[in-house]
Amino acid sequence: MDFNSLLQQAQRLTNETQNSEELPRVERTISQVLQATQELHSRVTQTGAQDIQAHILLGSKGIDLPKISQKLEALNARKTFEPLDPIADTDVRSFLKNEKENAILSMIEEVNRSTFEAAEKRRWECVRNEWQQEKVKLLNSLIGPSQNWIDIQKLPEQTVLNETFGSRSCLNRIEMAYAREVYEYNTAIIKGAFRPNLIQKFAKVAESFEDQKVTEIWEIMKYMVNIAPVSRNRDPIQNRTQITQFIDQAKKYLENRYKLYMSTIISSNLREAQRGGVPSTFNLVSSFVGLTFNQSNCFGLQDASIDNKPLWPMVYYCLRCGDVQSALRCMQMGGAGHEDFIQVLEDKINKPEQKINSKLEGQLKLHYCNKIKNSTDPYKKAVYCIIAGCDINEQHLEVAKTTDDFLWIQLSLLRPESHDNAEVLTYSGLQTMILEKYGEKHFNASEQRHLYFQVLALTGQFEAAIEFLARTEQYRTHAVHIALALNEMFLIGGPRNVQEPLLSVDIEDPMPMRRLNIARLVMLYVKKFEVTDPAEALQYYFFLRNLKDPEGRNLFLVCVSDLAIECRNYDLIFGKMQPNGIMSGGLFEQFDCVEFDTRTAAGMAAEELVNKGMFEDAIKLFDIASMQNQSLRYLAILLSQVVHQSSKKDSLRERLTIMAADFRERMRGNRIECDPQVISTFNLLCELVSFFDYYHEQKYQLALEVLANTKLVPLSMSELEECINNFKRLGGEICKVYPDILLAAMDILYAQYKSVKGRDTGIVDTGRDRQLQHLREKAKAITNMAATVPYRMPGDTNKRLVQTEILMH
Amino acid sequence: MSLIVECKKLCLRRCMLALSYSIAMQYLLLGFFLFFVNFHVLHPLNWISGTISVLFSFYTWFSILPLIGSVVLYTILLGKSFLAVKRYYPTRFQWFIYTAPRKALFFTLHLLVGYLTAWLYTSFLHVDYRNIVCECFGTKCINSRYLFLICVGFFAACLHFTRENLHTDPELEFPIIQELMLIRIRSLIYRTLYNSLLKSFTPTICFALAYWLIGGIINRYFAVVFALDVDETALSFISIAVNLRLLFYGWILAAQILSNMHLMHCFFAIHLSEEVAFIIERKPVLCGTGIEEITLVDALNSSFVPVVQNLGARDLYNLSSNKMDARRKEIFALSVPGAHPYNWNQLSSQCLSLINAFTDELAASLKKISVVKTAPLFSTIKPTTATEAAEKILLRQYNETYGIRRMMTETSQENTETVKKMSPACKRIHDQVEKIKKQIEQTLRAAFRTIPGLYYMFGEPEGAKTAYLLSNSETILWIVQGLASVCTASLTEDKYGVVQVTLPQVIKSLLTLKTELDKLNNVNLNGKKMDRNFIALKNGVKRSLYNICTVFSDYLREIVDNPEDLRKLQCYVHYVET
Repeated sequence: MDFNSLLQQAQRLTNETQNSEELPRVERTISQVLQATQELHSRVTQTGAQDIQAHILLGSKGIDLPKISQKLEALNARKTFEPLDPIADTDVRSFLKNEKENAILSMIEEVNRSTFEAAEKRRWECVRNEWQQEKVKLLNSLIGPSQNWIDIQKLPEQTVLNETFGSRSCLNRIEMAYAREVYEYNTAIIKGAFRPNLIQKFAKVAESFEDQKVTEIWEIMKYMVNIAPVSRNRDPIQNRTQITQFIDQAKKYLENRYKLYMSTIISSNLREAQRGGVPSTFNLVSSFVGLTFNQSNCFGLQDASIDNKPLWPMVYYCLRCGDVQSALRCMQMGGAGHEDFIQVLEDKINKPEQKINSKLEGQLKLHYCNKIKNSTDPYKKAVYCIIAGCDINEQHLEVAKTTDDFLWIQLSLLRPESHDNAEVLTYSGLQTMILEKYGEKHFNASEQRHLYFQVLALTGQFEAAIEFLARTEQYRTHAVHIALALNEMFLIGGPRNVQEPLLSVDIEDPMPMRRLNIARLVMLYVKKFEVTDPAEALQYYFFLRNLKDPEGRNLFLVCVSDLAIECRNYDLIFGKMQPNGIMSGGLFEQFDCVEFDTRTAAGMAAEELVNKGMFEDAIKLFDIASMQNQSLRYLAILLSQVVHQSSKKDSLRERLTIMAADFRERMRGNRIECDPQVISTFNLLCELVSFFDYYHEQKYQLALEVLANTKLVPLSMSELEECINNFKRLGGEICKVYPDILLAAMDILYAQYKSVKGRDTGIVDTGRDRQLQHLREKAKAITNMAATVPYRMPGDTNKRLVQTEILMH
Repeated sequence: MSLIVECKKLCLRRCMLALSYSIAMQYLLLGFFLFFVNFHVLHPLNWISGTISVLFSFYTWFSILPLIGSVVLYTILLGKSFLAVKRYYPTRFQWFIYTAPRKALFFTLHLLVGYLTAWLYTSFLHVDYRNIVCECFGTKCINSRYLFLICVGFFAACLHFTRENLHTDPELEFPIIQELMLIRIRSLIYRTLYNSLLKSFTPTICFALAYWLIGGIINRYFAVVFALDVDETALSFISIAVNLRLLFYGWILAAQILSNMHLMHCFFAIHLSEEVAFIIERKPVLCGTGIEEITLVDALNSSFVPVVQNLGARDLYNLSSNKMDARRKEIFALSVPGAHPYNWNQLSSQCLSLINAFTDELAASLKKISVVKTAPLFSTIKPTTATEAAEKILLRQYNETYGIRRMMTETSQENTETVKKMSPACKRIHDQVEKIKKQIEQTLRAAFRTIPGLYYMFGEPEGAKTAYLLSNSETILWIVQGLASVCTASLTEDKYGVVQVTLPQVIKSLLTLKTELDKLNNVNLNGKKMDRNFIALKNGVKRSLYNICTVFSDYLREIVDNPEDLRKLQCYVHYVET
């Protein structure tokens, strides 16, 4: 190869490069290029790779970084805020100026600091709140069976008729039986009928379960609530500490149980018992004592005997049966020597309300301490302790063989709080002993659940008892219903805040008292079946109608709206809007009252849905809540997102279209209270729906007609002005789709143009030319519109419009 | 099974006894009759000897056989109806359908007995009255006097049937004072013979008048049948009125027939109602004699043989009210192996189940009486769940959405709500249809009541069931009183305290029964302001409660838990309950 050919080749290459305008011409020699490269390289190695990246990034957006950094360096706040130099005291003017400036500076400093602190505090609050909510969610989900949480996602469309309820129900037989009672009770309440005794009803249902322990639990509750109605305006916990009836009822239960026990023992030994025909407690006790004490095991028993039966066991068992009268009779038959004791018993019978004469009691106590304490007769000791209330720490192990006995003795020892004597057992003292001193371990609660429940319930600690019972699957259902029934009787102390844990301690309460969060209990219970049995769930939530959530909303409504969102069966819960605009009521209708009705509930649920971004469901609920304004607003928002898409089966667009059609139908008939702006936006969107429908179906002429009606897009230069004016009045929803409208319109025009041009017959056709001219005119109007609208279009829209227009020339 | 047999055996024995008494009665009555008709003032010896010879002659024994045969048939039917379990017939039509065959048969037997009695007795009469054929004016003609007497026989049978058996079924009556059976029978016979003469006098005169009117027709009919003439002279009013002998014979015959039937009825009643002292405890099988005995509990339990049940109730009543009855000790005794109060438990549970069943039935029957019926205090409990209600709502929504109209009317509340929501036009149509439907219903109901006979035959009179129950409440009455008395006796006699376990249940049952009965205080049953049975039962129950409350007044608090019941019982304790 010679140099000539090389030169020619180079010449050609330069020529080629000259022709293509894309690349700038290189006007440097090789050495120059090398130098430049080296310079660049040195710059890169100097400032580091990241700076370069930053420069490149910002530079691409038109920001000159070095310049800015220079400017920033020039700005120096430090100097401004620095404490000023001290100035001699004599220079008054400068001193004052200095002081003033100092004051300003310190002020700024202080504000700065406090702002920072406030921001910090708020941030932590926010974080803590978030954590709290997460915690609540976690706790809630831990207890319910987890499957229910996962597959709640149901198909949005439901056919109503094929629903078969009973078979899918999550409720078992026991829960169903309770639920039925709950439903009946609520129906009675709503009707304003006489409030039935829920405890009695539940207890009756519980009998059908044929579970001895459950029946016993309800029996206890029946006894414990058999008191004079409590005040509704006072706190239940406060009430409970002041009513002594609970103690009496508990004792009565234990006493009757013991009587039953004695009768059972006797009826299995009828011949030996020789009970006799007189059905009195005295006889019962007498034959029982006769059975249990014979000559051999009477060792240690003191004093006289009645009919060959030891005296003190007789007295003790009479008292154990709650029959003071019989005890007195025993004492009287037992001979002289116990006058004080007899006097106390007589006082107890004649003046049951009064406190026992403290002098007499003192004498008895003295007697006890001096003589009886060391006696060999455990029954005598027990009887003295019970009557005089002395020696509360004595366990009476020989007498109290069962928990029932123990509890009964403790309840009998109870005395109202007195200041002069510290040696008394108070109600709260007993409660503390049971709940905290002995606790679950002592009673072997994990094995004998009903026993521990019994002990707690009989000492008036319903909250703790219910919470304890609710811990196991076996008894949870019963616990929930006990809580509901007690709550209806205003006997359950609730926490101040429904977000408290299930069992909480309020600092203002007397010591061992707990507070039961019934809202949480009910919600946990209902969670299990709310998706499958929303009707039942509603009935349970109805019990929470008197509670408020932290934001002050009615908890019942909150639960209902949560339930609705969870199971998405809005038709069932809130009803359905019929095409004629009349509501067809749902489940909630039965609860309508002055405070709330279906509308408020539906509105609340709708707001919640909006917060969650589920606009489609919210639209329906707003409609039910008679908030058509909101309905239409959200419908418009949703429509604007999908209006330009082509309609597919079961797509969001199709559903929305149907919904919109329904609304339009209704609006035609009756007036809907709405913002006119919203209505016009909605109407426009409906027009656009049909425009895009036609466009996608390629019915261009029809589409253009629809578009012309909307006066959105100018189809001639003369309309341009009007359209721009129109555009200024449009809502954001329409503006959003405007580029798509323009593109679609342009597309239509181009298609028409092509089809006209395609009819190329070879002859010069003036009509065709005019048509083409006309189309070009239209396209021009559109591009002009795109250029003039005060709306920042996506970058490629204008380009595409222009390109399409150019294609038409 | 064997128990039924035993009970039936007991009844059968008594029925056989009654039957033999009835047969013997036939001879007695015949003799009585012969003494009457052969009366000769002038020849008293001849009169007596002649009568006796006739009575014991072979001919008499032979000719009485047909009558005895018919009497046997009659008593079988009578016995069956005594032993039958009583049924309740809501409407007269049902009563007619079910009882007509038996009544017809019974009526036939009445006629048979009446005819055979007349036939037998006429054969011992004067020769003019003995045969159907007689000589008159040289020719043979129908003997109208004989026909008269035969007709008297039929007439008396009809009379007895209509008086005693047409409307009522035979019923046992227990005497207030238990006497020896022979004394009862003797006084019964005296009373019956005397009364029947009085009772049959007027009917015989009436019959004679009737015979004067229609006797000719009968005579002529028989004359045609036997191809004989008719003796017209004997048919005139004068001839009948003057023929004192004929009238006398007719009267005596009618009295005989009436007393015969009445006696048979009473023999059954007396024999069946003879009290039995049932045993309390069956002897152990090992030392049994092979014959199964009926215990008191068995007797009370034998509802399929009401007579035995009645006897059992009666026996319970007696045994509880007798001061010294060893059987009461047996009731309170314990079983020998095991020491269980087996006897008392059996007895009390049997009694209580009977009382409670009666109370339930009574309460159910009371619900149908409009006066007693009160609006329910609480709305009737619908056995629905919330989910079922939800289903209804869904269905309604579906229907409303697709414009399906409801075709059924329900009375539930949901329905009224939907009706409210119907469009005005729909509502108007709906109302019209409802109105028309109501009108048609009312017309039908009115027609049922106004067309004569329709309601009488096919309608169930209000309170009929209650009246029926009360009319059969005697057993309950005795059981209630007996049980209460046993309970009160237990206070001193019950060594082992077996009764006090059941006492609350007894009191509860009695109180319930009393409450139900109190509802009936102002109700007309069967048109009567005060029903005798009702008063008896109510007072019986009240007496029992008083009895218990007086004895156990000190212990009521320990026996009864329910405060409401206790309050009621306190009224008895203080003697303020009426």
